[in-house]
Amino acid sequence: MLIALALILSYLLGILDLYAWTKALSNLSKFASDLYIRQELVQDALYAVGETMLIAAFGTIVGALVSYPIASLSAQGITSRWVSMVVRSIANILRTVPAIFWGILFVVMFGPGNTAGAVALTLYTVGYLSKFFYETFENVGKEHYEAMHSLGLPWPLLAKAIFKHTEKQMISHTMFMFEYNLRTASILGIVGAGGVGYYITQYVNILNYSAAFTFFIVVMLFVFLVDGISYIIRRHI
Amino acid sequence: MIAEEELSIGNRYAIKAIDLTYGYNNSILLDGLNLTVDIGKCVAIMGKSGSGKSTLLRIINGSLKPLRGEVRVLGTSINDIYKNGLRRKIAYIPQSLGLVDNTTVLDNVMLARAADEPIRALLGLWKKEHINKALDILKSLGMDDKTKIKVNRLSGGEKQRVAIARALMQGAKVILADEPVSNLDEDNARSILSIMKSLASKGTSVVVIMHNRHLAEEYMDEAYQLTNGILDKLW
Repeated sequence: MLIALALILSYLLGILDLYAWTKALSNLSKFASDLYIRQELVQDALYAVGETMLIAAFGTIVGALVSYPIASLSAQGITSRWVSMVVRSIANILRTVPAIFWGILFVVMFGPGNTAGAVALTLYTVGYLSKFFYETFENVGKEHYEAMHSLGLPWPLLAKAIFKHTEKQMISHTMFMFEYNLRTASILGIVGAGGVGYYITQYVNILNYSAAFTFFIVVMLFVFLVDGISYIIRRHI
Repeated sequence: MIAEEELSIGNRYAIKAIDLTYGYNNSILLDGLNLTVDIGKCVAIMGKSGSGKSTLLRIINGSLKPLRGEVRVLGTSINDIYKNGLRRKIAYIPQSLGLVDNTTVLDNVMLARAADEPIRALLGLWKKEHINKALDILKSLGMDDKTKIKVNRLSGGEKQRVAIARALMQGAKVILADEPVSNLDEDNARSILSIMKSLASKGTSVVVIMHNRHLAEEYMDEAYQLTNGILDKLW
């Protein structure tokens, strides 16, 4: 049934058009001649990737710091049902807005550049990390919470105890978010919110595909490197 | 209702449950259950899985509200658990022990003081006299050489000792332990039950859920079988 659905959707979207595919492959072969690495731009690309990593790191770290109290107020077991419902709704709104829309908003507010990207990514991160965090908190067994409650712990101490208890998962979620933010930060540049995406967009706009390709390859290599390091760290924590 | 004359006898009861009824999803788990635990007694609750043993402990701990009936702990209704410091006098050790992973043995025990000194607890700056008390308790349980080890690295028996140490640090007069020895080998199980019996002899009341009748006969002052929502006294 899924196959039939896939075929229907492909037809509706024009993906089954053989002529279109033939033309696409022809265009690709013409375009491919522009896809080569320009050595003289590698240093600029590394600088741009550095900016992107700063934006991603800021968004992840500050986002994680903000997400922790939000998550602890969202988790039933730490706080009351009504408080958790209200706080979760706020986090849900943050998560519903795509990163690119946050990027546009903060470019309007702060002007183009890294500040807009960093703030946009922070809010985006809070929307996701707070959900990952509170779901982790809620996966701690009910009887564990009851044991904590029997110690008479107030909310901040209960939140601290649960955080320590789930520390490894929290670190893992944060590292995953950093990998994800590195990609998102690259894209935010398209709307002027800083990072390597800004440079790639500028080069594409002036049809300088080789320059754009150079920046793209450097970003991709960095993303692979970060993914690999993150995977190794997450396996060992 | 608990008769007033019973309460006036100097409150020799640690736990008094009368006509306790609890259920969910249209089925009754505890059906008019009665239980009396005297101060300084070590009591076993036995029964098949799903019979309501853990539920009973959670009601006594104040985590669950019964549909009907009354529970008093040390003379105070469990509905008033946050009054008169009653909350601190009941220690609940669930099957999973409720210890905080990635935290040292000493910090887990010190958590028992956190409610009294929340700022110190948040900063991890405990008073020296409290640390010394925790160390004394751990020493009495044979855990003085493991205070700086994270609890997730301990064996099952060692974790049980830490949970008991925390209950003692809390100043608990009633300890409710859900299957504390089920996952332990016989030597460790005997060791834990000896500790509990010793606590009872010093005035702390201990209620233990367990399955091993042989060990229960050896260490428990009293034992009950929970069947069809009712407790039958075995001895």
